[in-house]
Amino acid sequence: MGNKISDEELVRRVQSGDKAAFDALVRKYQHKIVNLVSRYVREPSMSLDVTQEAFIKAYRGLANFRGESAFYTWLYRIAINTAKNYLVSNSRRTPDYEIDVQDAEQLAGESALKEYATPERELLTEEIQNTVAGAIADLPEDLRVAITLRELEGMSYEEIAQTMGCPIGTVRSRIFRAREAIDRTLRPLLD
Amino acid sequence: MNVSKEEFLSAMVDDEADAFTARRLAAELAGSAEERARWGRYHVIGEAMRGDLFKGMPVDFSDRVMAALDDEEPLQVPISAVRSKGMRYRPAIGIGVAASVAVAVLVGVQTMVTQAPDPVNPVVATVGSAPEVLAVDRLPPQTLAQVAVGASATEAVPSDRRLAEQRQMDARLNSYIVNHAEHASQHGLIPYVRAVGYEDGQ
Repeated sequence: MGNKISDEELVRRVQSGDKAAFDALVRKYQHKIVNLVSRYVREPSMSLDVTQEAFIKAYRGLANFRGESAFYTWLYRIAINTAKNYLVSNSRRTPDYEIDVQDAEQLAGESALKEYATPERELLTEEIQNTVAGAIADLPEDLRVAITLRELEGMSYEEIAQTMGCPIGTVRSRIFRAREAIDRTLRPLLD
Repeated sequence: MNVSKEEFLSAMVDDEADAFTARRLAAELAGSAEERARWGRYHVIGEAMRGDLFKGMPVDFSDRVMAALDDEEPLQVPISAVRSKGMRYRPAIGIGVAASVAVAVLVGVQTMVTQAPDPVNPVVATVGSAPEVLAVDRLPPQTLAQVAVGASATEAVPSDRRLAEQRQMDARLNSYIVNHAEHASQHGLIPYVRAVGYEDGQ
């Protein structure tokens, strides 16, 4: 994950009094942060509470955020500290291992606690996962390859353009059309 | 071909939107719950593809967070306090450049004073000879020696060289002053100081 013109712009808007811009940041990072927190806080419901608390602290902290680090690095640090504080206040041991903030993004996706979800939410998560997988399978090949290279391989548009032998504008269009096609099937589940 | 707002939003999800577009879209996102929902779903698609969805995450989690922030005052951070990484070092860079210019001016002035023509034994040099001298100045040492001997002007060459050096120094000093003036006016550092360059004979 590079840094992040979009984050900078959203942060700037929040700092200039536009609360709704913070909602966009929450939507962007909520899964990453809760996955990260859940490595410290074993109970899923508490992970969600700690994640919420971390976002609230982040909002308040944005008053003093000067962009000395990337927003997401700063946010991850807040989340880790919030989780550790929670464990200390509950007199529980913090994990034996330390999570480096730089590695947090990578680790965030490897939550060991995904099995602790409530059945209803777990079912919905599975449904979302299956819906997305089904929608991707139905995509025309050029769209499927473009979005796979982007989301799974983490390639930039330029790299995808080189790989697929097409202009960057075409890559942007293919990824967008892929997302739109997936979104059409996903929207009923999430709205 | 027209690129839709949604397509740019998709590019912004991948951080592939340029700064101007990102700024415009950030405003769109802040102003439209529908666009934020789309933005959220685009991110969910990526998380789902990577298998990173947190099982148990309520679909309205962000609404809960924002509801918890209802009582919070909107932030009002002064623009001057919000600096990007590059911006933060600009004052230090400006001070550094200004200090360098000051040192360069001092050294230049000192050198000019020590190399000022001797009033007792003035060196006579015509303006027209200067380009030749400048060219000579760039020649390798042995060629320079040949030119000096060939011109049978062992006294004149050093004098001309001194003149050329002085001209070079003047030109350099002028460029320092102009650069300093440009930098100062861009960064509010003594913005109204007028810098005057000078040339020979003026």
